Amino acid sequence: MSILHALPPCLLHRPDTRAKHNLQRVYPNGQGSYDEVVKNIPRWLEQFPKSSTKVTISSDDIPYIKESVLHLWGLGIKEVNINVVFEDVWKPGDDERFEDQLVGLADEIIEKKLYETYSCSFFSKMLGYPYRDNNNWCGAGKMLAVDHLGNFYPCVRFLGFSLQNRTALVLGNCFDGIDRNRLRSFLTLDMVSQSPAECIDCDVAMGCAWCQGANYDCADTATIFQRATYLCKMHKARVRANNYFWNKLGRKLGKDLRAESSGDGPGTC
Amino acid sequence: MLKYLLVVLSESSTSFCHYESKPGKGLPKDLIPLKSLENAVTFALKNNLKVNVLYPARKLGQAYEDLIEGVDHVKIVPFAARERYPEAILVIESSDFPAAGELRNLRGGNIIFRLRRPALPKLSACLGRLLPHAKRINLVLTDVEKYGPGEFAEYRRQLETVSARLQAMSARKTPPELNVLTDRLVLGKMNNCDAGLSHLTVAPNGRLYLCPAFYYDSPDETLGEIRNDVPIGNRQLLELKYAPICRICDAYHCKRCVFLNRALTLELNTPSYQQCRLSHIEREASRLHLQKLKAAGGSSAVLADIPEIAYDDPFDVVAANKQSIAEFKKL
Ligand code: SF4
Ligand code: SF4
Repeated sequence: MSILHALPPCLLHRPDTRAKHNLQRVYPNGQGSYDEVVKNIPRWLEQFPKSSTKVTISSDDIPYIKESVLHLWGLGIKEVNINVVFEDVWKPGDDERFEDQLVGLADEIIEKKLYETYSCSFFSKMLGYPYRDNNNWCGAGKMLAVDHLGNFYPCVRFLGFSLQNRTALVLGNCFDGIDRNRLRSFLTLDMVSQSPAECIDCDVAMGCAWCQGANYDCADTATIFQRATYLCKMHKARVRANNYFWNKLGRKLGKDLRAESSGDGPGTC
Repeated sequence: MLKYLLVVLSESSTSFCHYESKPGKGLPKDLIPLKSLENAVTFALKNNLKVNVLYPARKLGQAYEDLIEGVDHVKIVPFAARERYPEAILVIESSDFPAAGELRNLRGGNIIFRLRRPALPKLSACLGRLLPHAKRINLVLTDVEKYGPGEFAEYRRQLETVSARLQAMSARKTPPELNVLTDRLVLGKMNNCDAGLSHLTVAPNGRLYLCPAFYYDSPDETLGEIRNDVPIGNRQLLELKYAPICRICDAYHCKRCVFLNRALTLELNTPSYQQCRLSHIEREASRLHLQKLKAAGGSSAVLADIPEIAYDDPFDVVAANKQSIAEFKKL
């Protein structure tokens, strides 16, 4: 288990971002946790050397993306899984700022040959092609979250405290078991049944993610079948930066890494 | 496209489907306001809609009757009101099954037979008494959510017996139809309820709903006043194309009840296992029924065979193998 799971990308050795981390990740007494977390990372990595971390980006975090990833790598965490949030938070120009950050990160990775040792999920060879299969993106319905009363949920995002606009979606409980009728929609949910036509036909759709809980919370009606697409421009910006990364790295290595079928080189950076 | 409008005249209007209406109090305020009925009739006239009117057992005033007569309509009435409306579709409840003498005068019209779960073992006996007096019977199972393996087995047995009764009547000039056994024989594509797509409902409060069941279940969830371009949030989820389980299914006679869907699975486009299992018991019974009709010769010879299938719930097929994007685009 990663102790850094869901840490904001502000775990930087800079006074301002350190303070930002300490605003979000606090002990009950209000004291920030940055120093404690960082202090324990070497031990964690010693015990679990293949550990990775997960980072979520919101609008205000964009300026810190490049440094955050480099910093996490600098702490010895070799794999950084990172995504932008799915909710309606993006402001005009965020996509361009995001793209600039990723291009800056790409330059640094290539120049310092960081691709030989580290990976960041923002860059993937599989990204930015039309959809080929019709699967759902996330595993909601194939896993369970359990609350203190023994109620079952498709994931934590469906608990009452995670939802802003809807009531909790309960799949059953530890006394009566799972309501198999309520599971049916999750197990048959596919991409086409929840996506607008422009997503189904999108040229760069592959890798564009969605979150079932966020979809449920943001939908016009109480359904998991309406995909929230607030991140559309952010995904397209990511695709451009991703193309830049693989094309530039390919030139450097003398390989066509961008070709979808190439199978050469690393799948993610 | 909208084809018809359902008008529920009163809180205590007969139910014709999978929901329960409210017991009648006989109060004038139970009735839809005359002005709202007038709006509904005008809306129907302007949009070429037929009107299906759901009647209570109590008498209506003449002003109501006159308005209804002003539009192309079908009356759906409780058995208790049969004498007042001899041409109407009758709703018969298993819980209030008529005595033999009461059935004698029926004129061979359309009957909706609502069967409550405890009466399931009497299904074939009840239908045996109704079929000779009907041109067509629509069987509606209520309390579907309470059906389990025992009921599924019992339903299969009951339909077998009913099939034999229908075969015995098949030599008649116009043998009676029974939705759950004879509809699938003549259908080549889905013929579902299509609430919200082909019909809307005007409730006793004068407001619009997807169907009467939605009104009785939660009156606050209205589609609003009667007007053009009724807004339905996520309307596509009512369409077959956006129902991942149903769109691969060939139980064409199934109602695909979106009310039961929402009640049991929380999603309008996702059927419960009860609905799918029951419809597939009907599909299989229809398949065997057709085989026997064909073996006996006669006009059924021209009907296409219903293929044998290896599943009794299309959910299993879809959960194991999602439809491809290309197949979806062809729909
Ligand atoms: S949705 Fe259709 S089948 Fe279901 S209760 Fe309403 S009218 Fe009946
Ligand atoms: S049997 Fe099930 S899958 Fe088929 S149409 Fe009916 S509800 Fe849909």
